[in-house]
Amino acid sequence: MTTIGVGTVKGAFFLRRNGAGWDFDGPQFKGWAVTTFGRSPSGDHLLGTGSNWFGAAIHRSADLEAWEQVVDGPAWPEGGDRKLNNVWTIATTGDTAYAAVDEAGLFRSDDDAASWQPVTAFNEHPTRPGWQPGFGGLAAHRLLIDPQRPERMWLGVSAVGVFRTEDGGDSWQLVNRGVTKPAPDPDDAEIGYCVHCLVADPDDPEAIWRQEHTGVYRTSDGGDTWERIEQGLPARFGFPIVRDDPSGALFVVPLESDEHRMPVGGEFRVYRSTDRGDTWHVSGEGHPDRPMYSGVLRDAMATDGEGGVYLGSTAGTLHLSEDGGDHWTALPQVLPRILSVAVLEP
Amino acid sequence: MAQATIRIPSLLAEVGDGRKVIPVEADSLGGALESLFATLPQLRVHVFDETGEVRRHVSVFHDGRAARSREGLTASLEDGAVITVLQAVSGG
Repeated sequence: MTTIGVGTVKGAFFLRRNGAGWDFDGPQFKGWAVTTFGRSPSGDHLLGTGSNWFGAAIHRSADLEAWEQVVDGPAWPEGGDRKLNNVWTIATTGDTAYAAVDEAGLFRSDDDAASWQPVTAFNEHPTRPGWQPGFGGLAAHRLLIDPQRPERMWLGVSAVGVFRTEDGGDSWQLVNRGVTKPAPDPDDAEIGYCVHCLVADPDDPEAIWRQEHTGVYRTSDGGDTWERIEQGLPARFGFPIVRDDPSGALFVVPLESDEHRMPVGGEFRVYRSTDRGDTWHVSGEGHPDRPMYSGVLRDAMATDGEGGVYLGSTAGTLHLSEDGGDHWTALPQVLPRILSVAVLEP
Repeated sequence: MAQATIRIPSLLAEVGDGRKVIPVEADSLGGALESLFATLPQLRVHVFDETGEVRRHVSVFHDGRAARSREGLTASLEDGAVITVLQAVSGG
């Protein structure tokens, strides 16, 4: 049964396909921010929780009903000055799970997500002294793993840039050539990029698309060089970028400038590209016909590999297309500010 | 050792075992928290941060008085003591 997880600032909600409609369930983790969803290597569901008061953690469940906190979760060393503020993404390859966190760091587990260790080569990267937080914090928030060569990974960090490893995380290089920085600092030439989201073509992992603070970009050489792809977009700024793998269609939600961060003219629209980002058009029909001045955050849009595209807004509304973006529907529920949307069961 | 009670807020009960009132046996306030973590180890990271101090926006009250510093956690307990872990007032 198709199941969609929705993480909000006040708990997790779930949508389950029921005939032509959706059953709605939740909240779980009432009062906790639910920041991301993932899977352990054995297939257990994982999710990240956070709280301004009580900090962040990872929880696991076999059935999305009974949850148990991972006691030995990602953690910075006691006595240090780094704090675990949020777990922003969880990714798995083979027997290894990764969690990327704020304050920026990468952790790995080799025991089915039971215990987590720091990925030191990233966490102590030589450029780290110059890393500065963006408005949303100093966050490692997106990890792409090459499905054919899992020792190759790309990690997006706000407001630092995209890092690539070719050796399973033992060394990391910044790969941002061609990307414009929001505020260039000549003293830190290598860093200062503000990546918001990354998505790759699973059949061609060298092809990666990137929603950046300063615009939308793509690479066809694994990140060595990037080019702008914004023809047809009403604004460059935005947070998520996702891909419908069967058709190759890409989706973004443009927002007016980094200063305003609202749909241009109050017209909330998903934009789609069916030519690998060369051109963009409003995705189909069925968008809100009344002004909507809310955005979509970087982890709050997802695809199911079968033409389903799901997104949640900062106003707490849910919107979906089940035909690759030709037609959009808004669900009636209004939730707290939505941080994360994930396809838990396709 | 003193027989005491720890009260925890709803958010911590949610990630604990559902109880908001938990009996403990300990000689000190810090010992009472350790007794709580022995039962519910997942709560440690939610009460203490990486510096080893009580989280900035968490308060620990002992019989109605706030105990913030590590010295405060050395306070001895008497039978019937009530310890309250509170979500501090910090906006939102």
